[in-house]
Amino acid sequence: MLNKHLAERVLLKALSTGGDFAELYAENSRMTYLSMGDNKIDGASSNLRCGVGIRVFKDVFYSYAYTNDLSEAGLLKTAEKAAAAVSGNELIKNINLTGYPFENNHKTLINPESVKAGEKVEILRRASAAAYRESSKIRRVDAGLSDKIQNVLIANSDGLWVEDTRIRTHFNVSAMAEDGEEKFSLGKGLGGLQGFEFFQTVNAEETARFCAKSAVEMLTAENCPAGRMPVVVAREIGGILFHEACGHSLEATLLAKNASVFNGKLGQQIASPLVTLVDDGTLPNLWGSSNVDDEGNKTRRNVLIEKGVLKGYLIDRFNARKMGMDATGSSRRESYKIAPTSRMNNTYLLAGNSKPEEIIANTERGVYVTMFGNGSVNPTSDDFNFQVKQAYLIEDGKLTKPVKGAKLIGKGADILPKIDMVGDDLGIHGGGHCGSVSGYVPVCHGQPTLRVAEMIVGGQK
Amino acid sequence: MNIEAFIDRLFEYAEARGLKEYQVSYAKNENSDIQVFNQEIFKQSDNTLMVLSFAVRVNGKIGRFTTERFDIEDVKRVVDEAVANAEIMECDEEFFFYDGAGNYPMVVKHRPQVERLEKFDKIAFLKRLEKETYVADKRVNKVISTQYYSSLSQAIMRNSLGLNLKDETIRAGAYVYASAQNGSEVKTYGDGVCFDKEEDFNSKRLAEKVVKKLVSRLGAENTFSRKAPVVFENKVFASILGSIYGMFSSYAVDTGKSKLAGKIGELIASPKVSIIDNPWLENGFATSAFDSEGVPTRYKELVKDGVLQGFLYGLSMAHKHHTQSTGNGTGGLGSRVFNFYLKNGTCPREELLRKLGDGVYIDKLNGLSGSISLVSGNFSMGAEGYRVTDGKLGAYLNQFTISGNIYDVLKDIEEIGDDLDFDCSPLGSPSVLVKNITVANN
Repeated sequence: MLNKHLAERVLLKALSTGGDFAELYAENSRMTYLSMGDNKIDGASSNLRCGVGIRVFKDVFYSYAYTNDLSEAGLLKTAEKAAAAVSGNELIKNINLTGYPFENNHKTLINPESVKAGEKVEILRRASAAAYRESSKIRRVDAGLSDKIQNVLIANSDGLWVEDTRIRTHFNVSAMAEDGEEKFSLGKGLGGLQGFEFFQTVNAEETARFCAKSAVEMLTAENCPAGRMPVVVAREIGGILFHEACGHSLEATLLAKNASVFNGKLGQQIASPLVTLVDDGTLPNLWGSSNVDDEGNKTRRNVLIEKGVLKGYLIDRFNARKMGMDATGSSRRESYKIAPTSRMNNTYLLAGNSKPEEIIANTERGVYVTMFGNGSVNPTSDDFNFQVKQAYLIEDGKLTKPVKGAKLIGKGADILPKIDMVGDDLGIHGGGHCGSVSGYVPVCHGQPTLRVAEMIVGGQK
Repeated sequence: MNIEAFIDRLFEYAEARGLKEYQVSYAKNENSDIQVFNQEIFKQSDNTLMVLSFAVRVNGKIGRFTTERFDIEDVKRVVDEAVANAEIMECDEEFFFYDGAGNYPMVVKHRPQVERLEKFDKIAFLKRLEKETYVADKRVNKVISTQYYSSLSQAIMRNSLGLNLKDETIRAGAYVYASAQNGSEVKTYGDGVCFDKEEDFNSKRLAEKVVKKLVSRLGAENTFSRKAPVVFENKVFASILGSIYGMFSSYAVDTGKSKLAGKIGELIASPKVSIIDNPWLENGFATSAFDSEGVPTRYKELVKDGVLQGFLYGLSMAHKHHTQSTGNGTGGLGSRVFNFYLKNGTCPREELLRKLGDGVYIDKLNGLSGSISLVSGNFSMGAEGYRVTDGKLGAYLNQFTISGNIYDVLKDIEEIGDDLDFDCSPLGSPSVLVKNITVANN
């Protein structure tokens, strides 16, 4: 994308007004998207994203400028803009970009560019047909397939020079069931840090059938009861509970401003001893993984909570300065248009000893959640909320009927100690995007089946 | 390379390939922001972005390629891949470009006071704003962020049928977000200005407005679970409108994703309700003479006195239903709205609360995005607000959930306030009183 000589000159220009660190992030991404509605392709688009973002640090200030004018003049002008916000004597006069070796842990077998459009259409067609076949009550099926080849180059004034290619493939499907006046729509998205071989491990048809079957079942669902009750959360999908209830509050963005509920709590028991929470960007080919983070550091496995004790935060290079701590290889950004900051990759709770069926059998009355929609959190006040897309009532230790329209709310600090059973069936789910200060980034979350002894369930009954 | 030259090359190549209908949409955006934290500049940015989308019509279908790179070597690929994208389309709907005929209205868009802002010391403003937020009440424990931003977008749309349109959008604003503490209780609140009025330049006014709301959230109580009447504060109901405009989309109606199918002429809301899409609103945030397909925009009441008047159409869905585009096209099957609002009512705030009697006044929603299913109408979301007893605002309530069915909510609107506000956005609403919302916390 850029040669080293030009990159060095751009970085030096960015530092010319006294910055003590400069970084350049160049991106060249190619994306394609196909959508199918009612068994027919109804959308096809291609996208080329290309540009450079430049960051300059001076103590605990940073400036940022981006452009997609990649001419030498355009880049130098952008470096000048980033430098303009800094004033002082020039501190760094030489940069020698050398780079470091790293192994590609996320090999791609089939480059999406080599796949004929017809093959992609076939995946959608089969999935769509499978959903329609599931039930005559399926009124409408929509599906989409997208892939992205993201080439990044990260260079900084410490001499770092890293180039990486991230290939991601994503599939989504939604099915709408109808019976008289009743309608219910349910969808699922799955993604991997993989090429087209993604579809060798992910069965698009099975996913479509699951959505169709679930949507039909939800047609008969009653309104979820409201109030405080035990909530059992199914494996895989429930990971979003931790993503919102404590993950965001462990990111440096607000910690560095002393505005997170978890400031000053390192070493303290913040969760039930059954809780060990990890964020790991290294897991091979998972949707939320990458070889290096968007500051060019190798991703790693960060233990956030161990047996209920807060062990670590997620920290990027800039906030590391403010916090006097080390960066954790988890600085991320949606694109060159947004400066990176600490974000989650693949966040999951380690397995416990309980059998999933005994968790349900031990719950007299409560809700078993099997699919979440969106969720969000206010990391300062600690209030979170999640949409429940699919759930069942637990009565006398048995799943009795599907319930709809539920919302879970609460405070992370309140529910983490209330996790009283953790299953042995860890599963990790990927395909969603997490939106925060540095934009939307692909993330996975995971967990075994678990029970929160008491949560606030919002419903209509 | 020069963007005009790039567009010329695209058109030359498209013509040489024998293509008849093609279109370019191009936007240049320059934006900047400044953040102050602890009386120091924390972040400053200054950016330029150019994006071009090339669309081509082949056999009645449109394919697209969007690019941020304008190298001469890309011309062939952009055109060829857009053609390939058009050729792969299978749906029954036909797609069209617009030829630019028809009358484009003269409109007055929102515009911040640009000349004044050029001389305005933004950093000093943010420093004052931060300080004044702390000073306004000793319970303010953290001003989490203060930010100033501005942007200038220039867009052009040109096609082979003769369409040639230009547009310019300017934005500027400032924002403060803070927390207050009372013992172990922490609440947050933020608000902003968009520099189109004199008072927006007064940092103290913004600081005091935010802090007043912020500290009133302290000492919060839990509510209990029951069905209750609710007042949605104007900007909260405006955000709900922003989540449900899709129910008026002709495509959503066609695909069974809106429950309004077949209901034109029927009462779908309380007779007090009129819902308007007004692209011509003076100083509106989404004011525009044309839609994303270049079709002239129109003023429309989608719901008049509770009765559904019609749906939103772009060129493709209009053709399918043998009607005209309503100037709400996106270029695809869906539709967009412009300044979208609930018509102002006449009930003053005190009267609205008196009519509410005992219930809840909601001034914040959590997790609204994706919470309302237009297919079924069911929703359930996190909310915050005040207890109302005997028509008077009482204690703030800890986060609770509200749930119901949005199609019922429209019918259950009992009264509409006189406080229509757009709050620096294209979405507007007065406060509304709705009966029978399920509120849960306990």
